[in-house]
Amino acid sequence: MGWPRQMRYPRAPSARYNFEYKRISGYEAMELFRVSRNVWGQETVLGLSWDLLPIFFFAGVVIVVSHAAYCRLTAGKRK
Amino acid sequence: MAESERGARVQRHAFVDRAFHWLSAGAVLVLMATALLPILGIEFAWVTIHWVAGIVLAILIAFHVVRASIWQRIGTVWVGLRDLREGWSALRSSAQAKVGGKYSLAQKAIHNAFAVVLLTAVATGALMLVKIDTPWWERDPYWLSDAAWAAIYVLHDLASLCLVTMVMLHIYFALRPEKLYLLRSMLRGWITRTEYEHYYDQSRWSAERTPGNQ
Repeated sequence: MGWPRQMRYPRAPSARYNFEYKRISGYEAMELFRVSRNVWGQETVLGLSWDLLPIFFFAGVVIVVSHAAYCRLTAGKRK
Repeated sequence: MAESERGARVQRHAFVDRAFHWLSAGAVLVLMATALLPILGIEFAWVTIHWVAGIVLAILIAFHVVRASIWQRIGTVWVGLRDLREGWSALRSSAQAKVGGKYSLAQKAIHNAFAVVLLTAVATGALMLVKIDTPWWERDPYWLSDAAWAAIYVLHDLASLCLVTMVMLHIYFALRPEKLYLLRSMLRGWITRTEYEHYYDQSRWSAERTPGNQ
């Protein structure tokens, strides 16, 4: 009960890095993986972090907007 | 050339290929919705819908691979040096370039990217079926080591995240005004003779003309 959170719930290397990063910078770094513990208490990876979802979504948005802007700007030349 | 001749249609996609495309698209959208909506906080019983749609997609892909290997030319979507050269010159040219063969470099690239990502998602998803109860078997969560399951989960998730970007780009390019004739060809099967002569090198894509509204 009296242990710090990171001692009660040991986490993956990325999470430990995140803890240090947050302690030093005051900001939370993005997690790359979802992690859990198996029945033997060992750390296991459950998959990629869903924090990455907006990155893939906005990558699509950036490409679409950039291409649309490029086509609009060069429309006269392409005819 | 007479107007009736100009209006003649050139078949681009057979019915069976269009059916494969739209059924696969439906399966992928169902898979993405059942995977991503719960993450976004919309809770529902998604697991059964997800794995059933996954099996449907796996069957469709197997059908497509067999059809493309035996009844079609698999080299049609192979990216060669000539494609790269044409892609580079199209990028540098300000004018609307001819596509050349039946598929442009961009179309081949997105097809091959979908092939890699969907095969990864289907293969890892098939392995993950071992961990759920189905009408055919009971779940066995200890079939592989934790490290192996971790690799499978990461690949499955990476494929699903890549699909978000790729589906967005695919829909965007399909709806571009200058590409609407391609969307029509995927819906109805044909492009006009004028479009064929304007966009394609006929020595590289010798299309069959199909009279009437086929």
